[in-house]
Amino acid sequence: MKRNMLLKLKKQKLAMLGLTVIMIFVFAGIFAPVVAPNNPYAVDLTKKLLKPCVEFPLGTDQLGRCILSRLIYGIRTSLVTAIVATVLILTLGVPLGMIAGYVGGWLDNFIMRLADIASTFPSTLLALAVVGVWGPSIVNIMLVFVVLWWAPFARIVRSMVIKLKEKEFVLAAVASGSSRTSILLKHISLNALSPIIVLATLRIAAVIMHVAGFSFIGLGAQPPTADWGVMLSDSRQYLTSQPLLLLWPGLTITLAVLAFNLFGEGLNDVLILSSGDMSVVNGGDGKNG
Amino acid sequence: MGESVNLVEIKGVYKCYHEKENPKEYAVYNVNLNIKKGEVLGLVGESGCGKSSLAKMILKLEQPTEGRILFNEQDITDYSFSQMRKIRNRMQMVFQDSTNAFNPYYTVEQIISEPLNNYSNESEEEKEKKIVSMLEKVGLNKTYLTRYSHEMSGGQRQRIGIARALILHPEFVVCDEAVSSIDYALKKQILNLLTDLKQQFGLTYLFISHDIAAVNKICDRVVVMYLGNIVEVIPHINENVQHPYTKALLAATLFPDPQRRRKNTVLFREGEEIKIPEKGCVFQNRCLYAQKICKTEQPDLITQKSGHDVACHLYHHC
Amino acid sequence: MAEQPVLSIVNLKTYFYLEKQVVKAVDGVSLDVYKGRITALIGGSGSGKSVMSLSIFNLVDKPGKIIDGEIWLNGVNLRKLSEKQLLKIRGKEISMIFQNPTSSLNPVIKVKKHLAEVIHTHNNEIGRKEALSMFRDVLFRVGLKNTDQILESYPFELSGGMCQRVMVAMGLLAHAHVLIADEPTSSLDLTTQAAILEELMRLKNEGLAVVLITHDLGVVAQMADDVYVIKDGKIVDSGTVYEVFQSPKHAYTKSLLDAVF
Repeated sequence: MKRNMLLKLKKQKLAMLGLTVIMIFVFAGIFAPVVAPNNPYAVDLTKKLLKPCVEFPLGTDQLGRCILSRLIYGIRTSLVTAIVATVLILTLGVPLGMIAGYVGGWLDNFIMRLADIASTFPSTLLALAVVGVWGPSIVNIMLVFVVLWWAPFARIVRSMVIKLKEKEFVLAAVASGSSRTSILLKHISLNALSPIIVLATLRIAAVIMHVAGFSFIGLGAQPPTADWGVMLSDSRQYLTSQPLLLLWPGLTITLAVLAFNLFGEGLNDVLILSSGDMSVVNGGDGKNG
Repeated sequence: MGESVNLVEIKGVYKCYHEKENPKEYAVYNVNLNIKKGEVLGLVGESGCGKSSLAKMILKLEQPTEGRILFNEQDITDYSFSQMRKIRNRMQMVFQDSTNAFNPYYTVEQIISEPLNNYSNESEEEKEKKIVSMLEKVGLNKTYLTRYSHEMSGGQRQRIGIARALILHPEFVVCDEAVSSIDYALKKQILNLLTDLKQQFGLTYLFISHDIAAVNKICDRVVVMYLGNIVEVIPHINENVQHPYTKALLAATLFPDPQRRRKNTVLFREGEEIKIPEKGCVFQNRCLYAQKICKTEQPDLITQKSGHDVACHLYHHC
Repeated sequence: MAEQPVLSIVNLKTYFYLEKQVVKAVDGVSLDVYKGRITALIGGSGSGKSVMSLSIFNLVDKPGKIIDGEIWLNGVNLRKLSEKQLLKIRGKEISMIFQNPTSSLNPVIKVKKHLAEVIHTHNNEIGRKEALSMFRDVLFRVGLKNTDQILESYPFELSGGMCQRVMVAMGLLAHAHVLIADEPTSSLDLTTQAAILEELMRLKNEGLAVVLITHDLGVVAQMADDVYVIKDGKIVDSGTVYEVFQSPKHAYTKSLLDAVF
């Protein structure tokens, strides 16, 4: 089953493109000290706002720092934050959704009302509040997203679990004498997780974009941290004189988000196609195979 | 052969799914039934008659709203999940073959070994031997162990379902529409298989189906249900049936013989909404013979002669 | 039967080009369908019967392709028509009902609109009042009584049997000459099945040509006039229903009949 799906995934060209780009980003991020041509923090005002050249492949910013190196080091902050945030969101949302769906009753209601609050709470307001109390930092912004974005995952998992609970193979597992934990883990989780995988991939992309956004308005990473959002923010002043300062971080954010989105969509298609029925091709009528 | 023991007793069972609604609609209404050890009891009815709910309640896969369920003379109605786990190896179900009968991520080996792992302390080799032997009994072989359910045909899946149900050598097996979605040739094969396995293992079956021919072939007795109520209990569905609904069912059965074409008989009142009436007989809206009393009083299930019970006012004045 | 068949299929071949093999779903099938008669196509799963009905409507998608054969409807070779021309014919001269009636209808469109779509595709000039009266008529013809209520309902509010009747009504509304019914009653209850089949019988008596595709010998024995037995994409037996049931020529037909108890 899994081998089949991997083969299908390989055929999704756009998804593979996305995955390749992701791999490049990850590689560059991990090996940043080796890959980056210069020190991202080296300030040299004599070399400020240079156009791309051999020493500085993408030019320099207003403080003479190598833009490419800053972008590469920026991968670390962006990707790490995005992945950690998504993992935390999953850790919070998936179990809550499963409990809500499987146990039902007042617990279900309670968890769903929490989810409603989390979904409707304005993120900017919460970010401002958090920053006001604990100061601006990427970790704080990340926590804001975790606290607000677990809700859609919980809801999706819950509705999958509710659907699955009544399916015959789950009843068969009960009739087979399996324990509730075993049923939850082996039968329900496996089948509830496919939409989650896709959503998680797409969520990573969303976190990257939102963190950049908050850093842009000064609530996230702070200068001199090499962060894409910060770079975007810095570039505003030089929009007319040196628009490249805006272009490079903007393009990078777009590329990263696009890569994750493409990969996620490809995964989605594969997982949906896998559960389809090829019966008409084999001449059957779907029912009897 | 001595007195027959009741393996399963269903006493005054009701099932209501939406208890907060008013008036309550019962999927199963006041069902009283005994299943004797060693018999094959047929349960016939169309969609909405409550047969699946009843089957699930016997296995406690669903909880009765009212009434008691006895298994081997033990009252299991209030058994908890863990108490039921101790006895589930004695009662099993063959589910209707649909795409949902098996976990799509499980291989045949995992499917059949799940019940085995829950109850057996044997070694892996011994378990594997048992599984392969069961596969062979249902006409498959060990090459099927690594297959997934979507890689098999309907008939093969049905047999895996039977293997899964029988691997623990239960006493009681519910076959829920076990032959409904397969071709004729296979149907005959599987019915024969079920009968053979019954002899071999000394099983008791509850055979649920809407296929009257299949039911007549392997059942000792047949129960007919309509909208949650038992309307008739009879050894075979033939010209002796009395309840108007059973008569309609029989008339609607299509015999595979062009010489025996059904004349245009009117079965029941057409176009009426199929709804449970607030009082009176549950079949009154479609019954061709409905009288005044049918609209006010629910007929009891009364024995006409040995082995034949009918719930219909038409026959209650004899 | 000196008259011409209203639908005639000659040597139809529909193959599926898969990665590792070519599946010959329909491999040289020929059959004739006459007005006022029910022609049954019996086959088990994998026999190609469903692909046949899709082929008639040219609804076979990649990797499947109709590679040979002719489909004559009222003297017109459907295979030579463009998609545009076929659109006019589909649903008007030849109509189809499927196995799972509730999922064949768009759940978010009222029955009224479904019926309206049928006539608008083929005739734009009918006024609203006239259209509604036509709808009521055709629904009544298929045995539905509270027509006004049904017109305002959504498919999911109706039972399987009622949905199936709506589908037959859609075919009638378009004045179809031929109705192809692919396992029309296998997902329905016995009693509903009896009612639908009775409806089809009545329509046949009024002149409709019905192609009944099924694996159920009971349905065939009770309903069909002419029978074709299909196995692995080929017709292995044919004749009137009495001929095929009493003296089956092919071993497969014999095995089918033997399996019945």
